[in-house]
Amino acid sequence: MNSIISYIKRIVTSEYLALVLRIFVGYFFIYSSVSKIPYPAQFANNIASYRLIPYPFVNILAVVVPWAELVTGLFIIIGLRNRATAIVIGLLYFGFIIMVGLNVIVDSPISCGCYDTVGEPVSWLKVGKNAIWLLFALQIFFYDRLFLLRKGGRR
Amino acid sequence: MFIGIVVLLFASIFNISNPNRINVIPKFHDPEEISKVDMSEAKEKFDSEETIFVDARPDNFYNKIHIKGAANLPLPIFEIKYGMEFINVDKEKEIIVYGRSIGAQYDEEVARLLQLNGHENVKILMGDHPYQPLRWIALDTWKENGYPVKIEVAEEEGAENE
Repeated sequence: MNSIISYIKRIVTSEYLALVLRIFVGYFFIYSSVSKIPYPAQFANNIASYRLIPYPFVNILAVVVPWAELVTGLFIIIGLRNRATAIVIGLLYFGFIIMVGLNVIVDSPISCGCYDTVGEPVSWLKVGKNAIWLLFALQIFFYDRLFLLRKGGRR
Repeated sequence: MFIGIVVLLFASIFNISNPNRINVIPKFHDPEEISKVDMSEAKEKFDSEETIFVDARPDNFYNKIHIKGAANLPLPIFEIKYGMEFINVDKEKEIIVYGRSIGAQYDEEVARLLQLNGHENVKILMGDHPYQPLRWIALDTWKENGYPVKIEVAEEEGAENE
């Protein structure tokens, strides 16, 4: 039993797992950003439909968030400022979880807008997926140490 | 910090050069430009059945709940729906537009487009308490007052409560 726990612990804390997660998370961040960057107006409509961000801030978020996804996606893959990037990714996922979660609670008839301007409706499954990805970001933050271009933060 | 600077730099440069760019600070329209109508007045007009009510929100919100009898004119397909449903409407007929949320002022935009299409008597429906952010969402106040609404596709009708 103890050996199983220590084996799992070794996998969870593995820097190789961190490397795989880096590529995985980075890929999806880049993928989700490229459909939004050219069409900020559509993404602004998506953000507005969540009915949580006040009107004056919707447009600026629609311009900045896709670029935050692209830049952090690239940084996390190449290992530039990896810990700071993992924090930004974690914060983005935290924001997504809150926004999608609240809209699922009030049964909003909106689509997620996660990877495209039209897409799957918001659901608890989406919240769960985001929560898992938040855990991925945490794993990267704590255990990533392979193939880094430059370490971010202190150890 | 470094990431933030890189993101802001790329985002702003790209947005300036993007043919589909948007204003980072959204337009705030002059509140006096389009006249407003309050709940009780709107209800009287609703009862007289001489006024057209327009729901300016996207159709998924409209399908969930809307003022009974209101037409849906969402911004992205405004031209198409206008051409289908409003092209023959008398330009002097009163139109009351509603549909705003924390994140969007659909009502202002659609009212403006209706004016551009020559409608002279366009008004925006306001909630009861403009100083309380959530209460100026007109549909919420309308529903709270027990005025007629149509809910979901199941076609349940809200009780009329006068």
